Amino acid sequence: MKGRAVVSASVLLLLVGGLVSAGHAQLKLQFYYPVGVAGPLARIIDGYVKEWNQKNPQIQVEPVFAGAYTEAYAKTLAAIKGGTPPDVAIMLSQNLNDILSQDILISLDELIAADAAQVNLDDFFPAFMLNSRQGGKVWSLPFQRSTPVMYYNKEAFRGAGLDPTKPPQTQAELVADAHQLVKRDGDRVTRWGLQIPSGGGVDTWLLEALTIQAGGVLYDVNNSCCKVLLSSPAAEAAVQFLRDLGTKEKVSPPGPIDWGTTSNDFVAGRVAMIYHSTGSLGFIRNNAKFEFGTAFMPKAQRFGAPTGGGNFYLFKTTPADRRKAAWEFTKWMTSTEMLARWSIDSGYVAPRKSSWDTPLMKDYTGKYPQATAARDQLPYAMAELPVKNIIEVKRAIVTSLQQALTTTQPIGPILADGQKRVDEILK
Amino acid sequence: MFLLLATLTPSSEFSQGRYWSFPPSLENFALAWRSATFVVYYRNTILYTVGLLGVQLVTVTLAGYALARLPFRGRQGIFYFVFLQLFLPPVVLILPNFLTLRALGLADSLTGLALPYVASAYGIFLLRQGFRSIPKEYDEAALLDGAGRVRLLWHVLVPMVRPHLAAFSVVSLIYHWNEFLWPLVATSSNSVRVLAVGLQSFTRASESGAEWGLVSAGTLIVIAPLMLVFLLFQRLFIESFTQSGLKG
Amino acid sequence: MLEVGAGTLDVPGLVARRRAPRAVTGLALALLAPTLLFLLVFTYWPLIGSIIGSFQRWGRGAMAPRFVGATNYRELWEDALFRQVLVNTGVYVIIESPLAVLFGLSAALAVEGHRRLRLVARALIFHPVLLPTVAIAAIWLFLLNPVSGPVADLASRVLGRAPNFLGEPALALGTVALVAVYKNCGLYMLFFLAGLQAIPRDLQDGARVEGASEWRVFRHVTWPLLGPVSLYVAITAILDALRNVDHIFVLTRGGPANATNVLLYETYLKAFEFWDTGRASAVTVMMVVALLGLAVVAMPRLERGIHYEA
Repeated sequence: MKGRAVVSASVLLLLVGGLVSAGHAQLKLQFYYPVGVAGPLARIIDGYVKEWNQKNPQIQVEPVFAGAYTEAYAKTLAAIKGGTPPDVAIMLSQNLNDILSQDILISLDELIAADAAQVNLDDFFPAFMLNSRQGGKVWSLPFQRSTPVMYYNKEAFRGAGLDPTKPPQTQAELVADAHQLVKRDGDRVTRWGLQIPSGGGVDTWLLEALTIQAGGVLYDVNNSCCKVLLSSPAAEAAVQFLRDLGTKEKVSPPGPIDWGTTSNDFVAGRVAMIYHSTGSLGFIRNNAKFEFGTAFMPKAQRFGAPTGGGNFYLFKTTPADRRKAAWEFTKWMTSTEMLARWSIDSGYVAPRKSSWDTPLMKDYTGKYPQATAARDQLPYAMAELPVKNIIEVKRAIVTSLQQALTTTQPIGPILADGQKRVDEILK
Repeated sequence: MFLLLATLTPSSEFSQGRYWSFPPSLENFALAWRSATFVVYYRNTILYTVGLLGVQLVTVTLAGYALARLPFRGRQGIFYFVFLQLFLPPVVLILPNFLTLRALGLADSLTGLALPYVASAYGIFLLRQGFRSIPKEYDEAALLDGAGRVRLLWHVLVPMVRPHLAAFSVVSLIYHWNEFLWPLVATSSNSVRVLAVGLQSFTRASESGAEWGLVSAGTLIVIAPLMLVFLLFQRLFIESFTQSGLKG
Repeated sequence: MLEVGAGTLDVPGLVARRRAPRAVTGLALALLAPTLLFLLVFTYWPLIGSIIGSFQRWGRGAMAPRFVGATNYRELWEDALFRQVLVNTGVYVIIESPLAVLFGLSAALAVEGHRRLRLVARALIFHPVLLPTVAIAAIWLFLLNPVSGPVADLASRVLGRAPNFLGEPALALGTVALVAVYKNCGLYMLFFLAGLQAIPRDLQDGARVEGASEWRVFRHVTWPLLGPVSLYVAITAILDALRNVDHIFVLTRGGPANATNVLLYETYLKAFEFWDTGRASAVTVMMVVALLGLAVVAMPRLERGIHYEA
């Protein structure tokens, strides 16, 4: 009897003690994040957060994986509108105008100014800051940024008699090489030459890339919140190119190509060249059993790429003390060291120049030169489609694109219809 | 079947189109378990489905009895009022219900999630059928013995509608265990997430890289309990449907 | 004992009940109170809310709503995309419900007499009902991958090319419907099995003894007696077709080019991705109207069907 009493008493004491010590001003932050590229990135982010939590017992962060970009955005908005907002979130950099129209963000200028040494805006690549600025203020900090790149199967190249050190540089070369790379077994195609995704998670991204390469831009840079240029020569050329790949040239599977499964098809050896996010590099590297390379997307009129990916945002709804804590967390995640590690672990482009100079990074790029293609493509990069009502706009654009890819109707009128819809949405 | 194979094969092999490998590997399970807080999802889903069912059983029995046995003015009207809900499933009213929850401050909670389903026309319909199929002699006998209505209900009638209660429980549990759209919209924090939503985010993440082995492992983790229960209680399941005379 | 209309009892000896109708009414209402309360708050009030909301236009941001009359309805009706959604929904229901019911019925008939077969078949056909639709959809997403999926492989061996089941507008809606059939038919099979078991064997055997073929037995004995069950299953199937969109979420997200976009999915998009509350409410109201139409047609028949049995 006595023994038991002692045990229970000590257990009680421990519990109480535990409660008391934990009570020391411990802030819990909710952190929403999406994953839009191939690979176990959710686990990696959770790992980083665990590290932070260990080093910072006063500020405990709860990571909430929210799905792919669109869903994560919808979820974040729903949480804010539902009254249970997160304290910090990663959202697409391109959603800035849309998010601003919801009036939920705080601008980061003051916070950055107070921490100028740690957060040196000049250290971030200008291309990646394009989607962070609006109305002269900075609203977000780049974290998981990327551009699309071309991945190509070097083994397949060799097998087809192509030089694996010379990936195609122009679209004409691209198609020619693709023809060589298609493998057929009678009437069946066992390996496609090229796959450029046109449906699925990332929607308008590659259309933007092709449009830029065709010499135009998908939106009006002088009215970046509110005007899309879908019915334009460059966009038409881009859509025509996509359609021809499947129907005329027959180097790609006909019809809309899914973003998510394309990287799979590549590592399975079912397609020799793909356009995909540099963020999928980790996945491809771990799963491809053949030598592969990365390169700029070939040019039509010019090289070009939209930037993509997510930034850190902070919210108006967060009370002051938590905001400070959230800022600390944000600073750590966007520090030189962390961005270098994240880039290595995922394949995203480290958005800070200093990250590329770290010994960790130099070591990595020595072993895996494929990681540098996206960074080197940056001078040709432009901002991603930044208009407001972005989800509805993207859906309308994708509908037009899919229509163009699944019918033989002339592209001009399809895009004109799409343009009308988009204008309606942006009114 | 396929699912099993996918689970036991390391993802990289799977992507190549080789659908099985020796020896079977459990790494997918380990990874899947670590990747998402399945324990939390399990807890939430169990709380949600079982909690909801508990409340439903009460409301449905009471209402079914009232509509079956108690003559009162306007009974037919009320019956139609209730029965109409069969054609207005809460998920169709997903937007206004979300707004209501928000106004009540119950968004992002398991309680709020369950509220639209508390009144279940389907359950009431079933139970009413059940009560009506009990010959009135039982009622009379008990009443003549001096039992009050409540005792009559509890001790005599309810046990006789056990198959109906069971059938309803089965349907309710399965539906809510696997429910996706309403929880997707009504909850956002991870601490309140249910299995189907967790699984879908999980699928989406890997969708980009389609680590199918992982996704399959996750799926198996989610469906295992229901499958187990079904396999063990198959006969009971089916018989509850049969005995409740689901013919009408 | 007769039950007529609203159910006034006609039992000799229980005069006591008739003497205190008010007390009974009180008890009845007390028992019904929670149900009625929740129905009001979560079924009927939302209906009214939707109707009101559908006459308003909400700014996407934090702006307050303004009254715009029937503009939302007019714009939706004039929108080709919405008309497509309507057509899609109709086609989807017409494909999915009858097929699911038919498979369920066939399975039940096939399996009914054979004890051992029944256990296996039941498990096989029924198990998709137990799985979350999103899981089933994820599996099919893999199987239907047009480049590296097993179905595509098989199809290209047999047909010479691999149709893109989820990527070709003409095929996508049918494919999505078939996935739903796969999931649902097991449940309907159960209902039919229950109904079949309630049919006295002597009736069927009697007909057989008299030389009737299986088909005539079915047509003249089994089918009529399955009447109420069939009605019930049919209604459930239509309702299920309208309210289950989980698989569309995973498989096609409404695409390609809105080929698989149905009413409930469009409602979700407008409400929770575009935050266009006014138009989303209008779509909700339209769905409700359709469902009420179904109710008006089906409810009396259901009531009648029930009384046949009692």
